[in-house]
Amino acid sequence: MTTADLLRSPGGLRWASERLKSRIWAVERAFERNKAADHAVDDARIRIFVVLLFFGLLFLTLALGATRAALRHSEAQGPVAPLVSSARAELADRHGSLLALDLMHHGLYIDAREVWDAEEIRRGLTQALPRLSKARLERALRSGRRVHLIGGLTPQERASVHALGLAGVSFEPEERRVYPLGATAAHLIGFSDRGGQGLSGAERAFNEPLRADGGIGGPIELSLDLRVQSVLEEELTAAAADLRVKGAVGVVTDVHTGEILAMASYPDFDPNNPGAATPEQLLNRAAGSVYEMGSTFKGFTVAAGLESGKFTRSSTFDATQPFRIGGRVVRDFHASNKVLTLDEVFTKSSNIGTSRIALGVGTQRFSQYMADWGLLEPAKVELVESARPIKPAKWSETTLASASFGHAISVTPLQLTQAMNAVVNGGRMVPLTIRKRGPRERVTGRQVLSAATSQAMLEIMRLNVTDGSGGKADAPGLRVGGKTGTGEKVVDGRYSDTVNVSSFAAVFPTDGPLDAKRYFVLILMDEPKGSQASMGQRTGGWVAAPAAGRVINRIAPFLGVTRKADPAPETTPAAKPATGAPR
Amino acid sequence: MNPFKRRVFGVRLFEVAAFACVLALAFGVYLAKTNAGRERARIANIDRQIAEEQRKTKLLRAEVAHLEQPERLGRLSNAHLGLQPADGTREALPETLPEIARPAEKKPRPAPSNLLPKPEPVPVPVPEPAPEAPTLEKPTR
Repeated sequence: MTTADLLRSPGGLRWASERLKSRIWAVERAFERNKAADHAVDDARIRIFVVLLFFGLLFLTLALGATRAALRHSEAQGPVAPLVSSARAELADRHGSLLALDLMHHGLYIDAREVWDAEEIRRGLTQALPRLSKARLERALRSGRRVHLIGGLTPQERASVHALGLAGVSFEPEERRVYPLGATAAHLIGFSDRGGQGLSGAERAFNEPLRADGGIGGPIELSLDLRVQSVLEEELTAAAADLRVKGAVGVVTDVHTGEILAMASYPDFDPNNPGAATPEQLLNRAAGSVYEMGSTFKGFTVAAGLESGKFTRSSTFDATQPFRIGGRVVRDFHASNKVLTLDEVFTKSSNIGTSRIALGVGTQRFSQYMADWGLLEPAKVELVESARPIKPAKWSETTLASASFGHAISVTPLQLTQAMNAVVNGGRMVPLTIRKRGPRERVTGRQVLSAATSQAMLEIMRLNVTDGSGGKADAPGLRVGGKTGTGEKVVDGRYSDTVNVSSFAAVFPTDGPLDAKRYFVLILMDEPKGSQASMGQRTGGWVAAPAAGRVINRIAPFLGVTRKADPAPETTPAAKPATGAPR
Repeated sequence: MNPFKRRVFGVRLFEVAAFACVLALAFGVYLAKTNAGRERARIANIDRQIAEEQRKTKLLRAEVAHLEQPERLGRLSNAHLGLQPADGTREALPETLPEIARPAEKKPRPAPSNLLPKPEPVPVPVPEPAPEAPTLEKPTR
């Protein structure tokens, strides 16, 4: 039996109290004993001893406490974080390349009371820091106290000012957000303010995680692939400059994971100096602008037709006559004046055909498909810029016909991307993301389309590149499929046939099993003017498809898509249209 | 020999021993403190160095990121070396190289139109030794 057990039992308790009592009595009686033995002086000694013991114990406790505090000192304190931290973690692309980081800069202060020679300061500072405003310097010199003159000095600038040895000039360190890539991926990365609050792009979307723990966390990896982004921007900018567009958009995604591998909006800006950019430059057109997409939407109409079970690829549609519906007449841009199969409706981009499909599917069902494919709500992505679509207030039959070829409904390029991903990835609605998904991460998505429809759409889209309007998007050996689109913009309340939004929605490779690696590329040109390269044309097949083809041709090696001879086409390839690209 | 009673120069031996003990302890504490202080100063110094190095690495990493931008590298290699993005028809996988090399040996200089193999097995279009390969310009600088 241990002492603890002994103490716990009632008998043990009594034993312990008896023992304590006898000890105390032994000390008490010591006085009597000593008195009896005529050693009265020992009384005082014992009292002193008891007091000594008491203080001894006290000091021992203090000593132990002090030792413990001394030994634990370093751990308990931990890293000191400033009260209000503006520090933010780094941003990197999917392969770890640096996109944004905090760098130590210096703020320049001037104390007018310590200034000896104002003239020398004027001369020295304006020479060393050309960007310093003179008015501000004068105000600081006249202020009579210590004021912040200019911030964000680089180490070189600080050194050059420091070397002047001016009295009254001092520096204080300050963190500043730096974007080493400049304008590259500016809209996706975004920027933050001096106080460390993200204002746009990923900086805004991941503001909380970036600021967590005073920004000492590891870098946040975005889904972005810098190489793909670079190619996309280069080709987009080249095409945009050639076509003198108002704006342009490029998006590249992995259709299975919804990861945005690249996203570009033209014109762009330098996030290191967002104040100098115009609103036009700051606007992220991929997420924040809505467009009537035009024929690119026909992909959804054809998919809806197949999915509803009302039509098959060999269903026929009479396009010999303009199609009358309500008070409207639907015409084809390139009237073929013949009976078209479903495949041909897509490849010849027949407005009559898609109107007939949409009406066949029915108002209720068609609008339900639009809703299922996320076309009636903002794209699901972390970006706060993701804008609401402009959708018809009421789905009448005329609206349905208009929507079937991409009018009457305005969506963001990201919405289109998200829905197109679902059409070509086997039918799963996967939310878009700008954050890199882990290798083991399970991507879940609602099944909004059957696998069979998805497979058929891949084949039809390929057909549109081999035999249809998307011929200029073909890249050797990459089995590109896609759909051109030329949406007419509304000018003075009327659809204009000269002010367009021309786009190309591409997917590659189109062959192989449904779950094989597959990528989506969207190129959109807002108000292109005809150029020499586009033979004066403004349509999607002429202005967006070639850029899409060039982008795909260059990014395929980065994405690990190998070039192969085309699988034997199912239908005999008809002669390519000799003139012009149909809309 | 009771140390509580024995006196040395009128002071109890016990007290002398205790005083000696206290002196020894005080000296020990002094040594330990001084040592710890020196160590702490060294640690603080090294911490400062680490922070400084980290700051420098950060700056250098930012500079590397800036200098290694794909767009910049592309521009420079185009301007100074005359390099261009590779044409798709000139890409090949290492595994397909023997296959590409074989027909080239038999027909030393086939016409470009005959090059794309009619039979299926060759998956990659044969890169023809470019008749007018872009001559690498000397770096102009």
